[in-house]
Amino acid sequence: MTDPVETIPLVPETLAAGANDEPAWLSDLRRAGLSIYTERGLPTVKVEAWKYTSLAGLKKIPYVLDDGGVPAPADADIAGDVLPLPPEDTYRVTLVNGRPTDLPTDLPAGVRMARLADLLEAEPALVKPYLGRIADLSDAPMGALNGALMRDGVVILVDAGIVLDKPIHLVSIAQAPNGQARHGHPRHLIVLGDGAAATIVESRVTGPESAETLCNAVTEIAVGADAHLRHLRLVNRAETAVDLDLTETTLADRATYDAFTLTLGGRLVRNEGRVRLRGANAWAGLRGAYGARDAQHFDTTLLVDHVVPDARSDQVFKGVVDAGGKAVFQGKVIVRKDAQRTDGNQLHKALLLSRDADAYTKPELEIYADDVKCSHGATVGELDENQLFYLMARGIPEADARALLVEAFLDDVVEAIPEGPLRDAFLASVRAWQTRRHASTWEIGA
Amino acid sequence: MALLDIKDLHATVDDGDAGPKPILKGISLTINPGEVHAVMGPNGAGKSTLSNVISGRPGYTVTGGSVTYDGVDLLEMEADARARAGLFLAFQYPVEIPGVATGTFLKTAINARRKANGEPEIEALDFLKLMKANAKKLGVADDMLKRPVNVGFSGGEKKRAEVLQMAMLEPRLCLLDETDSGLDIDALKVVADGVNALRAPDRGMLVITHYQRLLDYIVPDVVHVLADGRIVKSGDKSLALELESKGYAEFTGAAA
Repeated sequence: MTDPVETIPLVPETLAAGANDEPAWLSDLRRAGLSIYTERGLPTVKVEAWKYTSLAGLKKIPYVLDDGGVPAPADADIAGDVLPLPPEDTYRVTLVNGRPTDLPTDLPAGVRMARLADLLEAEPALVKPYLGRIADLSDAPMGALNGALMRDGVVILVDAGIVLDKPIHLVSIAQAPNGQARHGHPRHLIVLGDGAAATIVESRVTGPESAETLCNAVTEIAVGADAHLRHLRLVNRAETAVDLDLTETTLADRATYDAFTLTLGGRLVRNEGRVRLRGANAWAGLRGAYGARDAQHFDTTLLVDHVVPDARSDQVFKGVVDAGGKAVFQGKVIVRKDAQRTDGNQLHKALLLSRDADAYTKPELEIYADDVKCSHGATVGELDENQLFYLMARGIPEADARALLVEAFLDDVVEAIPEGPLRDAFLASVRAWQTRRHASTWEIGA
Repeated sequence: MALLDIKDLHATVDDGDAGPKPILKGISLTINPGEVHAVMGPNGAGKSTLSNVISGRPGYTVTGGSVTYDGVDLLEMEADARARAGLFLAFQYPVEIPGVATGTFLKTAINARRKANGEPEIEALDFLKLMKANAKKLGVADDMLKRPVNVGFSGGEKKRAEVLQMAMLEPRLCLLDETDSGLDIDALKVVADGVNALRAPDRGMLVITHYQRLLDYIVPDVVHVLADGRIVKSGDKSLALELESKGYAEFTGAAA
């Protein structure tokens, strides 16, 4: 029997009833989200999708719901963690706890960027066709909670045929000042019209002297026919951060979604990526790298859903786990009955640098069509002793040799990003992580 | 002073559950600066173990004797320190390292040595010049230098790359472990020319080989026959020719 007076974790009592003067469809969305979350609660290891990542511990942290009003820290305070991209080469947006604090004013015609809060108030019809309709959150309690509590986020709408000349850089800062832990539920929406093309880059970091933060974000993405979205993300939060991200993308005919996620910082990070290939000859690439250590727990959970025939998908993740770190990779591919001639590939490689490092891999293939090409591979290994000796036999000290091999292992997948300033920025982030790792006290190797 | 002085060296290989297995059973060998020594022997004689023990590869245990390099106890040093002190092992099977560009690797190796000697890092331009000049001599194509270390190299390219590394690191003692294996005659000549160009009055070489053929091109001062973990005969270059005609039967029989 459940305790009747137990409060719902993370849900303020005043909010449970649903709010005020919103459009009915929005109130419905919130109610639906709240009911899913209330029924399921914070996911624990008893739930298959959360088998290796429990959130039960979050109950103990006295988070309060972010109400806005937290000022953005100075750029200098976060510069070391953000992707090193010159501001003038991007359309840069700063978000604090998921709320945009500034928006670019020089966007080309046909591109609109707005605060979700503003649109919900002034032009709800603009987001209604997408919000809560791209992502299926019925099996995602945290995503559903986001639906119940969302207030703000960034909305990016690119009209048909528009090709964005510069990447959009979302600098997403988690910040809980005055020692008060905060949770926030940013909701983002990205819509590319037919034939449009854009690159969206995100740096997820933590502000200076922040207390505990829980960021529970949902991003919904629709890529129109013949449109191309490149979506590159760096998760580089502090040890005070719990970062949950669910991104669901739907692709039309010949659309492509090229995603890369590099996770290097945060105490508990879950990047959940879902792609629905609803258009023939569409392609989705979900790739990334991570480096976990010292009680860091990084979870990558992917779902690629081949709904129609003749689409392709590639999942490639590589990660390094050092002493105390834990990595989880769950990759699922669904090929529906009609999705003939699907080409789906999945690869996960983890490198363990210590006996006190864990990696869990769970590949799943659900194939209902008969004419498909699907592959999956997973390896968990240690540094190659022959390679290490070869480097040392050339005079390279052991610690440097190990560092070189670790960096090479990660760079190999970072090079999925085409040559240029963006790839360089990600390589530089790997290098900075490596330097910190090298300088820190934790053991290199077993 | 001798460049390399090996005295009554005994070593075992760690053979998993089977425990340590004796391979070297009392080797003594002295190489003076400027000398090229060849060690020949049948399969299983301990040739590769000898080069692995000298270069400091993990997995072997020295159970007796000593190895002195330029007056210092080599066995007390880690593999990387031995290399920085001027030892170079040209691998029988060069290792592929995906993700590490050949140029980056070489520069890191050169700078590791310079740092140990208290010297500044090599200038980028000087490094490029040095690498290109050496690559040209050894017929190593520019695009090979851009590729990851040994990845996608043919057998001959790997061996040429080993000699290229050797030329750039300017070692005082070169160990060549079966450098002729997997080479056709043209590649063998290129590699031998590269090695011969490095012969110098202050440099010593230990050339390990199964076949006499390599020694037609890299002519040794001294030839040793290694059988069952011991040097059973030493002589001048004519000993290599003798082995070529008679084979190793005489020595393996004697050692058994």
